[in-house]
Amino acid sequence: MAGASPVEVEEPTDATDVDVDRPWVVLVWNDPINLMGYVTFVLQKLFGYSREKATKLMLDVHHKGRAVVSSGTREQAEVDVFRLHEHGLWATMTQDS
Amino acid sequence: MIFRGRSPVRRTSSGVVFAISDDERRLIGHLLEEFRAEVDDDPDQPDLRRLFPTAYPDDPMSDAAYQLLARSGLRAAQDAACAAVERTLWATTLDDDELSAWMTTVNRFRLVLGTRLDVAEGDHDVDPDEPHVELKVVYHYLSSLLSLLVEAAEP
Repeated sequence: MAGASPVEVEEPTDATDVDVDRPWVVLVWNDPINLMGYVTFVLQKLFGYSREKATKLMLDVHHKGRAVVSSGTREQAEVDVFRLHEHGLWATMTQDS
Repeated sequence: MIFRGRSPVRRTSSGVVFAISDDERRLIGHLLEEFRAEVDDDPDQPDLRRLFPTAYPDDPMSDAAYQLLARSGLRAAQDAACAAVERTLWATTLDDDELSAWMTTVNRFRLVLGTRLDVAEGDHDVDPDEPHVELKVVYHYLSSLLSLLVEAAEP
């Protein structure tokens, strides 16, 4: 773990550098508990989306099983996931392929 | 549940009118006590898993780091919202922050109950002979209440 070892850590490879540049996406997954109206409201509130855009994303979640609701750096994605978790939505993040 | 006429939760020019019945307020107060006791007792129990979701499903190490940081934040948000609901349990009007606390808290009750009951999508019927029928009735009541809160919150 950090700071414990005097051994030099391996420098990141080029492949890792490329990874860092790929954006992270935040996914909301369909679940049997959250209400459609509540999901739409939360997406409007957290991301400032219009009612139309939030409704479209909610319907994607409902019919396709999941939808990408935001993307950005790993840090931004983690903040978004946390805020969605605060509101009880089933959200995960992954690096875009 | 069928509401005749005006919704008991509605936005007016002077704020959000909050006119649910005394029985409903007592039920929410009771659920609040149970919820707090369960989260304090064992936040890792399976019925509470929807309160602390996985962020990185394919990366256990990253998820462990996320859980380490996020759990205390999620607990703090849950506690603050519960405190706001307790404070306004008998209120006749709500401001926007209080309305938001009611929404997230009622939804957390639904997440715990829905997980315990293993509800399926579109599961709107209550069979009087099924086990946990009382919990199912409470779950559907909370769904109706949440819909009213969302309608009142919408801009």
